[in-house]
Amino acid sequence: MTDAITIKNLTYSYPEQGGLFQDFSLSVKEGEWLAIVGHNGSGKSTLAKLILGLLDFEEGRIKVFDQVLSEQTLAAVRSTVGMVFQNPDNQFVGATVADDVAFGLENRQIPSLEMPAKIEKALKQVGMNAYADREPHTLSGGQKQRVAMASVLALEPKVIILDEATAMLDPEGKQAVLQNLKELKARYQDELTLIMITHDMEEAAMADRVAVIDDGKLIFDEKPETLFLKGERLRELGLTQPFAMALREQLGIQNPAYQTTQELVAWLSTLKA
Amino acid sequence: MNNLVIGQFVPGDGLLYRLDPRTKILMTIVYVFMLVFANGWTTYLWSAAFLLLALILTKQGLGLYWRGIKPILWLILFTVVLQLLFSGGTPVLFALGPVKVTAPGLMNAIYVVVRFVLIVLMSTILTITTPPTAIASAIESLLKPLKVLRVPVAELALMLSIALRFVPLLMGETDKIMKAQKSRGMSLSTGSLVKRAKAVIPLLVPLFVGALQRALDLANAMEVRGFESAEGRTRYRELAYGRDDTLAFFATLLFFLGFIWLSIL
Repeated sequence: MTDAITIKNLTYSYPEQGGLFQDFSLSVKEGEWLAIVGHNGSGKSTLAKLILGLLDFEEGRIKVFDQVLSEQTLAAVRSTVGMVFQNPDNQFVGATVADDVAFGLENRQIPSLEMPAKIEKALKQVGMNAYADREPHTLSGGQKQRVAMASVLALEPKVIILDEATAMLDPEGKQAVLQNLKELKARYQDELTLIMITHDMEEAAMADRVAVIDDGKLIFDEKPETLFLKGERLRELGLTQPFAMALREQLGIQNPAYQTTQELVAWLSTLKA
Repeated sequence: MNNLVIGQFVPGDGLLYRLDPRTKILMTIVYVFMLVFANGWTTYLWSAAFLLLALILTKQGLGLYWRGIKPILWLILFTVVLQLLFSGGTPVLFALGPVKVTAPGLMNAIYVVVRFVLIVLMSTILTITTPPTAIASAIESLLKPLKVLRVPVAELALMLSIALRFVPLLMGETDKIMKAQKSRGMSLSTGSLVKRAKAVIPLLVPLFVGALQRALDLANAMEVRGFESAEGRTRYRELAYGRDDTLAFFATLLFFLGFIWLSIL
């Protein structure tokens, strides 16, 4: 399978605080769902900004499909990769939901007549089509994030990066956004690559693969099933385990296999019987 | 703040909602401009009749317009008092010491109230029936000739629509900061004027910092979605001049001619 995103020998320093990434490499396969986790300031959001050319790096190479990121390919890369940011309010450009989805289409110079159908389709995919004429301040945080997803989806990207997209949401809004992501992934399968930057381990457990970053270094890069068995090491990195795994450890249950909350519940109830 | 009707869009389906926003802006400008030249009760009556027609065509309840007038009642009252007391002239209707209320003063006061109310109502009709985005794109379209002078009209219009979009957000944020500072003992309503002015600073600083952060985030979000320049973008909402607009044009022309006829009569 081809790589959707390849980062090779990347070096980047913050303008004032100094070095962050040193000879950093990471690749994401087409159709993969990757979670990037790390504590605050570990460089995970910076990585997303680097991929989209919002920050300039010093050395190394970032490749998006067969395009090497540069001044010339910036527009092409941005039409392949979409991004949903953390703050629901600060990425809402339009005055209404439909206008916001239209913003990207207008930039791409899609003819006016084709827009309503594309907007409708994108909003349907996130279940927000009934809200097309609503103004942002009448929406909840979760709804705004779903509109932000629709705005990205309308541009038909191959890769979507979610930069802590659920961090500012209430539990309900968060569940709605995550549910939506699952549906999208199920619909597009290998045509959609998802990169989810998060510090929520329940979220990370949804991914196919988890990359753990600490101070610009790639510490782990493996499946959630194996990663979440390393409770001690994760805590050292300022991270936690998913609830089920933490609970199991607290209970002193020795079980070498990874379990989701449902699996643990099922397993515990067999014990009782 | 939420009761403020001026500048607020209220969804509806009257004829005025279907007009091209450019038509409505031009109509409002012509109307306000003409009112400045109103010189007697006939012209005021004529203007009021035109306004009434517009009011009916919005299909909105009168209560909404009353709420539009209410916040400026004090301002109107203030100008009325000024006109009543300081217009001078004869005959004197009644006097209380050095304060005289004269007949021309009374006339002036009535005219000022009528003019004030008519102007406010007409602009309220414009904003009630036109969403801010439509106003922004109408302004862009109307200012197009300025492109010859290298005025960045498209950029200005985009800035305007983004600014409008952030007004409710920043208002909410101001409210939040104000409450946070109040809970720490700040008071904006007591103390000397200097003290009160100083109390505004801890309000403004976080507001500005927040606004700058938002601006940076928004710039990123816009770039990622392919924004390069306000020029050369297609439009989701195309402005279209229709049959109703021609109708409105003739109505305004009729008003204009009638107004001139009445004022030279």
